[in-house]
Amino acid sequence: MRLDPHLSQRLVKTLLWTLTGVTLLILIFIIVDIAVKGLPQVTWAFLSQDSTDMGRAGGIFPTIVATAYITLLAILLASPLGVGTAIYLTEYTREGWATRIIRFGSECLAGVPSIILGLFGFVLFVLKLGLGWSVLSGALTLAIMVLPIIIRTSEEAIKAVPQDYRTACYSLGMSQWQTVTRIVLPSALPGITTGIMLSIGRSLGETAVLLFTAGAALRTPVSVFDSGRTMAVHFYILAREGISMPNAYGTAAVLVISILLINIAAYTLMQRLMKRYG
Amino acid sequence: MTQESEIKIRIEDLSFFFGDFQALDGVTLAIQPQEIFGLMGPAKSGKSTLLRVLNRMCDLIVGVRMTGGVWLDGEDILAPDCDVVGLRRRVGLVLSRPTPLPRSIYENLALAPRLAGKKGRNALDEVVEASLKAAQLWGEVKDRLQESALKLSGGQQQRLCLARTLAMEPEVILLDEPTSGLDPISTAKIEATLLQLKNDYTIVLVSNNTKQIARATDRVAFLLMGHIIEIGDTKQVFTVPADQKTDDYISGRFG
Repeated sequence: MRLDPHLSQRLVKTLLWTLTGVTLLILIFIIVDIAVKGLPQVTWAFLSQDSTDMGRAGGIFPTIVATAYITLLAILLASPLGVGTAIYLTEYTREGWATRIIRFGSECLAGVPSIILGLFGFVLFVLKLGLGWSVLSGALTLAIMVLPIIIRTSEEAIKAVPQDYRTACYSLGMSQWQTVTRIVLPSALPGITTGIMLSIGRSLGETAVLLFTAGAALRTPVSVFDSGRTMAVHFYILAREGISMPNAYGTAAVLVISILLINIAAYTLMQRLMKRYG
Repeated sequence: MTQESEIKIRIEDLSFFFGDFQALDGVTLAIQPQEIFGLMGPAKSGKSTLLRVLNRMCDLIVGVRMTGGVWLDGEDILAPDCDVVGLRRRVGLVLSRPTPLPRSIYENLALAPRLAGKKGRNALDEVVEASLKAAQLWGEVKDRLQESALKLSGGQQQRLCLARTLAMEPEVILLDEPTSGLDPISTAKIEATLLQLKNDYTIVLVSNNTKQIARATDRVAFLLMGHIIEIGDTKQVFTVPADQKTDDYISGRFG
């Protein structure tokens, strides 16, 4: 039996439309829920004041600082490592057992549940290396968590750079390093940026790892050895322990809006890069 | 035979293997300065491979092996300690497909000379202008040097690639079917450029197009399955070929 092509076309279209619609609806539902319950709490005072009474009153300033601090540090640690590994895997070595082991290791790392990674970070950084519950311990563990994302996306981005570019560079007497830094990496930058953005998103939303490694002190961290409570952890504690649902939603709203803003900023930056190199 | 001093590139008993496949078998050849030397032959005859040995671009392929020797101005370029990057600056390569880099027209030309140590805005400007003029592209692009090279047409891109090679001020220019994807007008422009360039450069031209070889080259070698069948002055090879296979090829009976 054969379906009429017009009918099957319409069926498939409807089906795909529905699937896309459902996905969008879920997203919209979450955002609206958070916006309705959270936005009313978000005032300048909420953003700029210290928390009091375990977060029942006051603002969330310390958690904003801790979030920015830990995420930034984690990304600064993970990006050079991840991009460097990707460059090595794609440009400086041939496919063989060594690359397969590195890739397999990276995939395994990506599959480790964050709670177990948190425990690992706790044992290694907090206890063994004596860093304590701190911004540094948290950032190091987060860096390990996002490393596979950065390696994977950077590798794909570098592989997607047309081979012709490399051939052209070599035939013009450019060294491999010059080729990689002047042509290959700039062309792969949009893809690499995407990976880093994904990593920032993961770090911003992470709780399990940070509960174990950064602690939950509700003070503004100054040194990297201070403990800090990120927005996501703050939200978790406020909601889980029934301290203050309105403030929990307020925190969630700020978190979601910051992720949105970061994505918009990255998108704009990428458009500019593409214009320059496209 | 020509004297050593008049030989730019000397190839002796060169054999080349991709894994189990033998692409070249005992090739011996001498290319003189200021000539356009043609390499012709059907697909898989080894002509592109031979071209890529001359600036060691063959190094980029995994699992290749070669025996024999190649000398550029008497210097062994297959030696393990040969400075490959330096060699490629002296021996430029233009590929069959245009391969502009995702940069402005100006950057495409200035990038490699700058990395090779050419300093100063004025010096680079001069190189860019001179090489674009030599490749007969200056008039078409002089007002939009800062635009992306990817916006040029196929023929313009190919002339840009030729100009880019010239900007390195090489001694030898290798061309691998440089006009295979181009329209007749662009082809004619490239050929005209080559004829002008041969006063200053040694040019090796690989082409599938026997008419182009007949028009543009001074001497020619006919390759078949990795063997050189015949070498000679282009006029002579095309009028009285010494080998029956050459005759069959240029008269279009196979290949």
